Amino acid sequence: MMKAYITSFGIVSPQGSPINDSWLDEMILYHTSLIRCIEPDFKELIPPIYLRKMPRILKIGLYAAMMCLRNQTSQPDAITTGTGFGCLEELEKFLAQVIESNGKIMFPTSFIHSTNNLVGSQIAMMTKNNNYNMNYVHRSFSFENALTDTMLLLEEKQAINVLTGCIDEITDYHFKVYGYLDFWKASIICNKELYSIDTKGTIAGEGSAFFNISSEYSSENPIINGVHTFYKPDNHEEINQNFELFLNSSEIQKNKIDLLLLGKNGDQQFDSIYDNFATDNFSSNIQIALYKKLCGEYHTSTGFALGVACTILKNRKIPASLVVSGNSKKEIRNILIYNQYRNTEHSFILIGME
Amino acid sequence: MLRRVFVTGIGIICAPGQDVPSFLDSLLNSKTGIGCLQHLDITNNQRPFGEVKFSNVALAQMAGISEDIETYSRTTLLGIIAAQEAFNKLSNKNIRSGLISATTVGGMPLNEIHYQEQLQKNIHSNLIETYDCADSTERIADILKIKHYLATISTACSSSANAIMNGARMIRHNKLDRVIAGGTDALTRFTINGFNALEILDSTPCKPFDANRKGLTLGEGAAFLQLEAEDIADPEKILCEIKGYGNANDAFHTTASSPDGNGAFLAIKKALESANLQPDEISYINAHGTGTEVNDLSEGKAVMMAFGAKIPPLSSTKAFTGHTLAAAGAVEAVVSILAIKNNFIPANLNFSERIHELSFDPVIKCLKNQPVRHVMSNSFGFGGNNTSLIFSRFE
Amino acid sequence: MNKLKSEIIEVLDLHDIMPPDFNFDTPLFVEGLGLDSVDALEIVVLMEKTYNIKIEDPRDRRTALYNIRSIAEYITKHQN
Repeated sequence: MMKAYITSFGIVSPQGSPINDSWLDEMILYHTSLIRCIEPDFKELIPPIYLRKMPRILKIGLYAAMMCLRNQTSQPDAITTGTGFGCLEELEKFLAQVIESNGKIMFPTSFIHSTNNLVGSQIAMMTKNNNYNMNYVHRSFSFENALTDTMLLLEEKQAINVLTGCIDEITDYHFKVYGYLDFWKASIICNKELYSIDTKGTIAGEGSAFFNISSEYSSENPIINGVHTFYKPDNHEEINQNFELFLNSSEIQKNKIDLLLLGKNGDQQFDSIYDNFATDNFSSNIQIALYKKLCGEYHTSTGFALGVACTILKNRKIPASLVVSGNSKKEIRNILIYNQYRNTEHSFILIGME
Repeated sequence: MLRRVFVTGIGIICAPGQDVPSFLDSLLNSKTGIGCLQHLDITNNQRPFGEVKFSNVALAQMAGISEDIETYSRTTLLGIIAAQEAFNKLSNKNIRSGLISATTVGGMPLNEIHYQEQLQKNIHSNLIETYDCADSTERIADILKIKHYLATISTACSSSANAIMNGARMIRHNKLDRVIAGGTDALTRFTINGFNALEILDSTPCKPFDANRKGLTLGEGAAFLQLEAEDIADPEKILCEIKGYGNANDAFHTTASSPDGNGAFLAIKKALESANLQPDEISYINAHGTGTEVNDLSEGKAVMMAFGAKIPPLSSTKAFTGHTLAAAGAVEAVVSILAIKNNFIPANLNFSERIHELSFDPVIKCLKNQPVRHVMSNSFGFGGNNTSLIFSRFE
Repeated sequence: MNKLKSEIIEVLDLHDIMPPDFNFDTPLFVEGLGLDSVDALEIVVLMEKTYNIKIEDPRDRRTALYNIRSIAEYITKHQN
């Protein structure tokens, strides 16, 4: 499997952005089932002329992308993005206009802004990038689809540096209707306690993460050793089979994996899938860290997880807010990210240091 | 070793045809599918549209859906019908199969009906999870029993062309052995009002590449291709080869293509290079040709830049189907493949006067008994996403 | 005209890009603020929704939408 190097990254999340080495040392606490991004000063990285009329999701996505591109000397050879739900706020705005106006004249801007590939195309416009540009909208595969495409571009030698990212937002309406389906915790909890309460539901989150992914060798940058997705496994044997398949192609042995970064989200209906996976494949003292208490549940949260993994590998330590179970090792060299959404979309990402 | 990629199945449903045979018949006889809305209920619906000529109930029957019909959006029903037509069941269980679909509206047909009510109360909650873009893809995957790799692309009008391109890339580089690739979009109040607000809808059927064109005609539909690697494809079933592809970005404006056609030109150039073909080897160009002032001019310029004095026969088939948005790339891939298999070039309907900055006229009458060897199909979208695909006769 | 000016600033989110000398005569398109065709549509919709004025001939738009003063004049002229 192709190996690729993460040379930089940018994140906007409910835990803020990785502006220095102490990011995630202190966990930002929320007492709500809906946690939103901490918005940076967008003007720092986005010229005001572009910020005009820009919907929130675009500002957040662009900021993360610009953070990532800040120290790059050349244009990305390609841009790939993923989003589970696209630009929800603008979609709802235009839909409300459609219903209210009933065929009469309408403001077009929120229609334009509801196009799903808005972030990727806006990045291209701002940076005058005429290269390959792709956008995926497949629920909890969205970021992994973009990453898979990126790895293929590098393998094809169609690109050397690819800007790969993801963005999802949560709106009040969206939170409300998914509440009808009991997606969220029935009572208010602190995100710190997400895994202490054995009930249905989780907390809703949002965020954006962008990575510069390169085929150029570097001993100092985290390496993506593989990405794998699979759909609706019949049972946990099938999950394990997929894992074996994935490991074989990545050429990383199971015993070299030092940390499992799991997408457990506190929902008792589905969290046992992770427990079974860990028990089936690893010893009882494997280190496990859970990231969704930091960012909430949303389709492209594995982007956040990848950013967390990069932070751990680069700083050679696990940030304090990521409480880890299992025996602490001297050094974390290989991290497995495993996420699944309601036992439908499952994904593995393997990331390590040389 | 890079593997050749073949098309071994095609499926389609759109205004001029509910399946491949009826669609082919319409193309050969220059019969448009554009007309008045019969099924979608909107105010001010005097405009022409490329609406599929069946109600949702009829579509559900055609798709073989008998349970929970109300949970299937029109987008999903169209997609299921076309994907089933393209798909040939394989007995070999070791084949790595993928489904790469595309859509822009997703489950909006249901969302827009229930949005207001659902703001107020918990009603029709069984529909909520169908509103996004992946719903149609996963329903198709469940029916075709594809689990190994799923993806949904949304890049406006180039979406399903990108799905086909990426399916081909994954097969070529041995990530998958077979891919069902294509896209689906249904007409919705949301998109009709949106394009209306942008003032790019013609009040009469669209006139691609005509000097007096006034805008596009919206359509709906779905189309899928079954792509297979050379080592597993049954030679009897091969319809054509995916010879080349290219994607490039205008980086100009969120809705308008760059006036010099630069992004489109780059996509065309990349496709020719990847196919290892010279411009003069292209037998036919199926153009994006939406009938908007901006697109047809910039696309025309891009074609002139890429092909110089020797522009191959070119037509836009959007005056048959309307602009099917995300499905357009796949719908027009089917046109391209039919052109190769049946040696014909479909007409560019509704054309009478050349755009004065351009050096060519499109093909205005269906050309039959025309040897068609390599076809270029172009799809240029909102946000400047441009894709060019090249299909070649199997040799 | 002040009311119209603030409405246009709101609809087009001009707060952060207005030059300090922005006034009723500042050209809105091409030079001046450099607004685009979508912004023009937004102003047209604003005029219809708020002032019930339709610019029937698209060719009138260039002159009518040149600056805030010209928009105000168009509205006054076609109010009845």
